[in-house]
Amino acid sequence: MKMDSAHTGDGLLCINLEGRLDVDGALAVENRFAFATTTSKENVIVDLSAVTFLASIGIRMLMTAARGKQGRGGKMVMAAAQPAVHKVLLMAGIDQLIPLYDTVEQAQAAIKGA
Amino acid sequence: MEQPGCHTLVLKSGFRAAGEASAWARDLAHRHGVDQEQTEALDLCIVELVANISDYGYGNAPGEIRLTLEFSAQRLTLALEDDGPAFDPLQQAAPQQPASLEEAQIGGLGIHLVRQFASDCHYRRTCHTNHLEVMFDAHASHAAAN
Repeated sequence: MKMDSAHTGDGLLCINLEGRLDVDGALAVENRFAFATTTSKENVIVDLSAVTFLASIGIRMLMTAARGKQGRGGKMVMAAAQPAVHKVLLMAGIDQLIPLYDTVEQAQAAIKGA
Repeated sequence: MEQPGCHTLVLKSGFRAAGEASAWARDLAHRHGVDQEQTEALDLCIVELVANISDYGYGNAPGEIRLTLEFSAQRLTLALEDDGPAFDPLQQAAPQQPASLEEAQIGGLGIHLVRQFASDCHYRRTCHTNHLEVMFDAHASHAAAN
């Protein structure tokens, strides 16, 4: 699992995750992910387009970060999940807790308009 | 393509076990010509269940996790065995959909996902061994596909 992030220039931080978000994947990025999401003053979009697999440990990582962000008055949303990952998020009901958009552009528009 | 058959793997519990089980299952699924949807369901379930046994099955002591995968034209069956204390994961109550992120339980999703993605599951306990069977029907229209 790889992670990188970029400031969009309009007050958003986009975090890109790549690979499998399983036990090994979560272990590889969770500290950096938590740090990036909680210390950023900007709202966060998590780009899932390159995530090929999502297990419950990965969901926990996302939920913990989203909760932390919300606790600090910020927002974290997800975008562009591949079909298999999208299905897992829906089956776990996570889309009801953390907004999930089909594209990063839709996420940007929604988070800026909110 | 491999002929229908039965394959076994014995793992040591630990943080690497789920990844090893996943790689083994995906390789076998590919060799048996299993479709993508069924492979993804198998992958998720094996990761969740092996991680569960590794995290809770033996406490802090290492233990064995024995896996069997049986392939047939209509059904794929995953069997897991461990010698930890009696634990029936199917008795775990399904999580309620929380009203908000603050109320959401961070844990407990693994078994819920297994129930959603498998066609059927059975648990039994014999002597000192937990046995869990998880079935995936070919092209089944169970809850996850709807």
